[in-house]
Order: sequence, then structure tokens, then C-alpha cells
Amino acid sequence: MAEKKLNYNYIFLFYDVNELRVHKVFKICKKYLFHHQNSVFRGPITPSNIIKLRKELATIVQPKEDFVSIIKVINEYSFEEETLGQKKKDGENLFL
Amino acid sequence: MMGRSTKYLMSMGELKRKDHSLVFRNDKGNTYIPIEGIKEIYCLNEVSLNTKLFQFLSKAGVTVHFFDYHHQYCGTFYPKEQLVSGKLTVMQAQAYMNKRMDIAKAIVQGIAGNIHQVLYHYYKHDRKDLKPFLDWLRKDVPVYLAKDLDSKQVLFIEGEIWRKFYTSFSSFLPADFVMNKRVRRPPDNPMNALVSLGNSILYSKTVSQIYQTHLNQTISFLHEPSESRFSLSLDLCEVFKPIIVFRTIFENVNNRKLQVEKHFERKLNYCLLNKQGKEIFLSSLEERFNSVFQHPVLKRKVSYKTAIKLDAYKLIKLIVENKPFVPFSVKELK
Amino acid sequence: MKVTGTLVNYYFHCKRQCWLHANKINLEDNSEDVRIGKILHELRAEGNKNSEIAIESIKIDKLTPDYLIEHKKSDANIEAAKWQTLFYLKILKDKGIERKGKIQFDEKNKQEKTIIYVDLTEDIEKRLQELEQEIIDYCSSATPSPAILDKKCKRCAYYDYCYI
Repeated sequence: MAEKKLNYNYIFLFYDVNELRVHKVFKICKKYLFHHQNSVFRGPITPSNIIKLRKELATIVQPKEDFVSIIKVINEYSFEEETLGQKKKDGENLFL
Repeated sequence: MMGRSTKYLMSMGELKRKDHSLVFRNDKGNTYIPIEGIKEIYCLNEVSLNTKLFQFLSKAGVTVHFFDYHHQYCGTFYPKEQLVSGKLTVMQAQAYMNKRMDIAKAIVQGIAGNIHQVLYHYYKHDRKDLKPFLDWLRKDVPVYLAKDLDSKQVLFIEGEIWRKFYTSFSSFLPADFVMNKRVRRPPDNPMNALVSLGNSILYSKTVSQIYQTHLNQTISFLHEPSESRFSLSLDLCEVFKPIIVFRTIFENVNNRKLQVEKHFERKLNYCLLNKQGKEIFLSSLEERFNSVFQHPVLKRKVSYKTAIKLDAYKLIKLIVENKPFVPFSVKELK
Repeated sequence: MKVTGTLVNYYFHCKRQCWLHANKINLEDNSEDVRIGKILHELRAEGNKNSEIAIESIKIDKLTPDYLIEHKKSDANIEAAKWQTLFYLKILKDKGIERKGKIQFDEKNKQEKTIIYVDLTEDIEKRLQELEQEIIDYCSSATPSPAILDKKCKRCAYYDYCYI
């Protein structure tokens, strides 16, 4: 149900799910977020879309076998990023 | 990591619908674009698209803008309108009949005011030769506009403002960016190339912002409604040109972020930005659209992009409730 | 023009919003609150299948043998919710379906109760009849009433339009 605090606008999503369901979870996530690295998505998102995303994932995820973790932050400026090596995914770029 | 509501497709490729979302495919591989949250796509290269994609984009209310090889605006994929009000359309047409000159004059006054603000910055920084033009904008333009004018005369004043503005560039820009004359198709020098691309992006953004309101895109006031399919966009984008397009150009040029030798391709009869130049200019333009200011009336943070939509709201308010239309002015902001 | 439950609710909540909505200058798309409300509504609807019923121009959240149930996110405007529910009850009654009204609030800020009961009386039915005409007349007028800044406006989907 509704959480009290609804003003998160950026999330990180990590998933560790049974192989059978990996691609289904992947498909759902890419509708809302950018693929960051294997089993990790992230990106700006509206509070209403967080509810939608969670609802969609809940229909796939098996509570006994799978684990999905969603870290919510206020916006894309509320964290700092450090990178080692080369980032291969460029979906977040303004230019493609 | 800038925004996500806009994407510029700068390389050749194929944009497709895939698993209820979007994918851009080219020789670099697949790049997924989340459908939720995306509002506008700009195609600045050869991009293949199919009807399945358009049906999907239409449902999501995404507008797609197309540009040709010379960065000229070609057109927009404009999904079936979701916000339509018959009553407002009728009233908008009535406003065209009864209040056309008021609206046209307000827009031209807005252009003059915003150009004044942009140039005043340079005047303060010792470009004193701008004084006559600044005085003309501040004192003479309102006098001209107060007269009883027809639409041709209003357009003439507008033309004069822009012409004098272009001439003023020589006071505060490096010589290789000075522009004597506005040349459009295709642009003939670096400054014209920047103005052309900047104005078409602003025009497209305005189309997308008006799409989010109930206004009819074809009924315009300053420009003739027959001028283009989205002639209201031509009207509403005008006052934002000095603040969004020209400020971005001046900053990039004066800070030497854009340089004639490095970022332009010169051919016999035209001049265009090269890939690096386009990326520098478009990303700073996008940054400006998304930058926010404290809105003096709404008392909350508003982006320049939203300010365009708010001007559309002001126009609705004039049309429906007869509230005088005063377009966006930088002067009101702190 | 067809009066809907939403219009009745808006008429009590804010006449200006009622006018704009009735003339299809609807701005609900702007509001994240409205979007959240919609999704929560869908979630609830999935929980108990075939709960939402559409009759003519009205949509009813849930109908049980005794009650018509209307869900509201918050109790911000009880009066508006009451009249909206009563309006539904009357339409049902005209169709030969008699129920009592039950309004459920997800969040209670203004009062203690999460559930409120309403019922039709002869007076209320008469008032509803007048009300319908009043709303039609008001929404057919040339312009909406001017905006009056109120605390409730800050979260409204029409805020930008009203105050710009």
C-alpha cells in the first residue's frame, strides 16, 4: 500500500532472482529505469511510477527464491558516483 | 546523467519498440530507453522507425522531432491530442478575431524586454556602445507598440528589433562570430549555424509544451496562422529566444567552449556544427531548459521549459478569463 | 452536459475547478497526486475483482448488498465526498437500486473516523435535483469564478493555471 513518504525521485534497483525469471524482471525494469550493470538498474522515477514498478515486479518475483532490493533517494543529486574502469551502457546519455 | 525526458539521436540507427519499451539499435549495440518518463525524441541523423513504434509512442504521448542534414527542422510526429477542449478552441478563434493585436504586441514587447535584459549584462561590463540600442528598446519600442497598428506593422517592429540585435553582436562577441545578416537555409557562417539549430530546438520544445495544454497549435496571433502547422509555437517561443538560445550561444562563444576552428564544418556555401560542436551546444541548451528559478508568483522552483508551458497557460487565461497576457520576462526573476 | 460524480465533488471543493473540468480544460494530468491516486485505486480494484461499476456517466468504487462504497485518499474535503456519494446513491435509486453510502478514507487528518456513513432523505434528494441544475447552469456560464488563494490550492492540479 501507499507509503507515507512519497517524494523519492531516484532509485537504484538490484535483483537476484531465479534464472527462469531474470529476463522478465529485466523487461519490467527497462521500462522505467536505465540498465546500469548486470542485475542493476537505476534512474530518475516519479513516486507514482515507483508504485507501478513495484506492482509489476510483485507479479513475477517469487518471495521464497528471489530477492529484489530498491534503494530510494530524493533525487539524482543526492548521491555521488565514482567509477573505475569503463562503463559500457550509455542509455543515460543525452545523446545516442 | 542529465534528465531523462529528452533524447537526442545523433548517430545512425534504428529506434524500435521492444517489450513495451524502447530500444535504439546501431553498430554500437542495443541501448534501452525507458518509455516511462520520456517526452521528446530529437532525430538529428538518419534514424529508421516503423508504424509499430509510432503507435506505441502515440499511446505514451511522446513527440518526435526530425531534422535534416543541415539541422533544419523537418517536422514533428505529433501523437493524437489527448487534451482538447472544444470550448477553448472556439474561444481561441474568437481571441484571434478580437484580441490579435494585443497578443502580438505583448509578444513583441516581451522580445524587446528580454533582449534588453540579455544585453544589459554586457553594457554593465563596459560595452557602452550598446547604449543607443538599449535606450531604443526601452523607450522607443513601447511608444511604437502603443500606436494603432496592423499585424504587418507589428511584424515590422519585430523584424527591426531582431535586425538591430544581430548587428549589436559586434560589440561583445569575438570577430569570427559576428553576424551581419541572418541566413537560414542553409546557414552561411558559424553564428547563423548556431542560431538556426538553437531556434529550431526551441521551436520544437515549444511544440511539445503546447502539446501538454489544450491550446490549438494552428491559431496564432503574431505570426499568420497559415505560416506553419504549429504557428502558435512560432508565437510562444519568441520571447524565450534571447534568454534561452542567445544566452547559451553567447556564453559558449565568449567562454571559448565553441570555437570556429574546432567545432564547425565550413563548406563552399554553408557552415554547420560538427559532431563535437553539436554535442557541446545542445547539451548546454538542454541544461538551460532544465535549469530552475524561483517563480515569483507561483512561489516554487520552475524550469525554463516549464516557463514555456506557463506562457501557454497565460494565453489560455487571456482567452478564457480576459486576463492581460504578459509573456515571460527575465526581469521578474531574481 | 452530463453531471458526473467528479463534477459534484469539485463543485463543493472548488467551483472554479468544476467549471474548468466541465469545459474540458482539465489539468489532472499534471498532478503526481492524481497519478498516485489512480494507481492505488487500480491496486484496490485488482484486490477484489469486478468491484468498479460504471453506470451511465458515473463510476462506483464498490457495491455490496447493503452499501455503496466510495474510497477517498484523504479526508481533506468531507463535504465534497459526501455529496458525491449521495449523488451516486440517487442515480442508483432512480435505477431501482437502493443502498446506503459508506465513505472510506485512507488517511485521516481532519477528524477521527476513517469511515463515514451517508443516506438519502427526501430533503437531500430534492437538494440533489436542484444541485444538478445549479452545476449545469454554472458550468455553462461564460467564465469561471476568479481564483481565491487558499491553503488547499497548493496541492491542486490546477494550481499553476490558477495562479500564473
